[in-house]
Amino acid sequence: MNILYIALSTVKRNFRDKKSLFSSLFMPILMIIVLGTALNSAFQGQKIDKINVCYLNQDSGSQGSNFNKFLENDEIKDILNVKKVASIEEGEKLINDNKAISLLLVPEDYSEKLKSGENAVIQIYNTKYTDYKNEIIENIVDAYNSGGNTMLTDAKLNAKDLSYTRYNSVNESIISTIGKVPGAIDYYGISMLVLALMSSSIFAADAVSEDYFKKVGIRIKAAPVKKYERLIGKILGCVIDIFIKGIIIIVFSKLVYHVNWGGSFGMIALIMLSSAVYSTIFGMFVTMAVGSGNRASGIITILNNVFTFLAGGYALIVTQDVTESALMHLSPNFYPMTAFLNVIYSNNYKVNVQFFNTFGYISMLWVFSALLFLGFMVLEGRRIK
Amino acid sequence: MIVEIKNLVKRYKDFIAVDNLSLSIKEGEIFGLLGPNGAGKTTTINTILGLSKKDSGIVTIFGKNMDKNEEEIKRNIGIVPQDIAVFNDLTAYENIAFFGRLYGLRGNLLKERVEEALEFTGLLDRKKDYPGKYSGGMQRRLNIACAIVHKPKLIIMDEPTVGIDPQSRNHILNSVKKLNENGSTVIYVSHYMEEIEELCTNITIMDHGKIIASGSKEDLKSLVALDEKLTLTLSNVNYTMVDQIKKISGVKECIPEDRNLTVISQKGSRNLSRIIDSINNSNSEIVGIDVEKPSIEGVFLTLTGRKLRD
Repeated sequence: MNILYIALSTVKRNFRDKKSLFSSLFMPILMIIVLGTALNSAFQGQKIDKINVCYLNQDSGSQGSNFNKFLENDEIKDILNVKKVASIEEGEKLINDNKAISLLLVPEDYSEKLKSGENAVIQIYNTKYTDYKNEIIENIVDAYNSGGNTMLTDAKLNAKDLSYTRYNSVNESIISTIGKVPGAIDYYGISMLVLALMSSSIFAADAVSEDYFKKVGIRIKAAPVKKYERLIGKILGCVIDIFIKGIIIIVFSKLVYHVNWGGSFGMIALIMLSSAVYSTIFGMFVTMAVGSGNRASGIITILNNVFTFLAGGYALIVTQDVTESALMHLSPNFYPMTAFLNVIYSNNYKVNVQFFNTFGYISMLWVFSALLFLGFMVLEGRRIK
Repeated sequence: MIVEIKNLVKRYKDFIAVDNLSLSIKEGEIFGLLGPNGAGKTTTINTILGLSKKDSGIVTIFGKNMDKNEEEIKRNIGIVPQDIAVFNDLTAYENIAFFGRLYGLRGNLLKERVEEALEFTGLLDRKKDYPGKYSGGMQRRLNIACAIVHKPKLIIMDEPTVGIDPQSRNHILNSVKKLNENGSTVIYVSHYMEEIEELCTNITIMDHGKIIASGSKEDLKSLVALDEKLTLTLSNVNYTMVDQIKKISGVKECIPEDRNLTVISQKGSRNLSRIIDSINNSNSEIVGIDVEKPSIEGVFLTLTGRKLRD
């Protein structure tokens, strides 16, 4: 029961704190509309840069040369920069050096297999990090391969010479993602929600510092309450508080700003819960590390802004560079942001290299929470003399 | 004995804050723990309550070992910390109710006890106010209300009157007496010897983490052989009168200064009436008399060579 009383009292006190309400509720709601309006152009009609691919044709038959013609098609040239390579190794090197996204390989027996009625496919060697550019290339090759199979059927029925025909469907399949990417208001709805969730670690810092560094802590510790009851009560209270504020932001932004929050509310709740737990324990850890709630609040405010910037929360960062993306992964704010974007946009919106899937990012929040909690316990043991 | 401490030691690295301290407190008494700032009084209290880890020693409260029965023992203790220890974002009522819940009070009993605590401390009509709106004295009273809501058997008050006006101080001192009359044992920690003298039946004086004297007020005063000092304010002072007083048995010194006469006698001389007769015989009128008796302050001064507030 003590856990529940401490938790409810923590929630009540946080909601009474006008400063906390401003920073964790009104400010994010305001920022969504400000940033969503001011930076709208960054999200409108994004032009996709040409994609660099390398190409190795090992087939000396007629179908191989048909694929050459296909790649020289104007519509393909608008999308792809094709560089011919002499070997698979050369292609791999270009991919590893980030000079190409994929290697397209027409195997030696491609024409032969097509003629004999066997399945024949043009192979794609991709970077190990999947993104939308790989998907575009796969779409193009799929379209061609399916065209090849159609030709195969024709060959069997008509026994005529086969030749390349243009497939207008290629372009259509590439741009079919329209409507599945966030607008500015949607993006900043997510990023400001994450900012609010993460900056709530300040309340956790304050709540914990009461027990350890403030005058009222003597009375709390003198009461017949076990240490774990106090800790769990405070953690639970902060998590509930952050979670409720998150729901308010989502509902308000959905109804008033028409922010797209998708339909997977269970997953949204899971990400929010994971972020709230992380945020709370992060606040506790910083407080115990610096030995003061006020100092911890200052540090958390600075860190949270840096993390939000790194995660692309203030300005969208589009990069397929692995190093840059790794840098983004240093920000814990990146995890819930990416998880939210993946869930709401069904994995279609990937503007950075992602090292994990949605559950991976959620798990990362829990792993960090566990490590920070361990750190908190170690520091707490040293602080109590 | 309600509290028994044996050989309590508390160190902070090389500094010994509590040095092999042993003491006993009887049930139903107001026990005074006196000493200058930094004497180790608060550290002793914190160590007794398990708020600081002790290095060695045994603490027994209500006949039970504190190390093994901490939660059970704490349930019957109320603490009034030196600083105001309340939540500023909860009203007085909510503060008292919050701590009442931590001590196991629920439902109607909780409501009753909160109202009682508010009434006892004179805060009932301001129960919906936040502590920030209270005067220093009212905050001190709220500090006490939070400690007594669960009607503890043992109340520990650590400097409960620091920095407040005389009226609030009197209110608090009367509250302490009333709590004691209602059956609570009180440990009253202070560096104000007047309060300790007024309230406590038994007193322990601490300095540098050690007990330097312990016993009843009378026991402590008898430890030091102090002279008795009498200061008289007269209508006029003459040398014949001074010479006569100097001849009275037990008088060690008689010092005239303007219309004042300071007479220092040996302890227990019982010569006040003879001094007054001498003055009357000298055609002078007594305007005022101040008799200074041995005090706890004097005891501390004699034992340590320092004043309590040094």
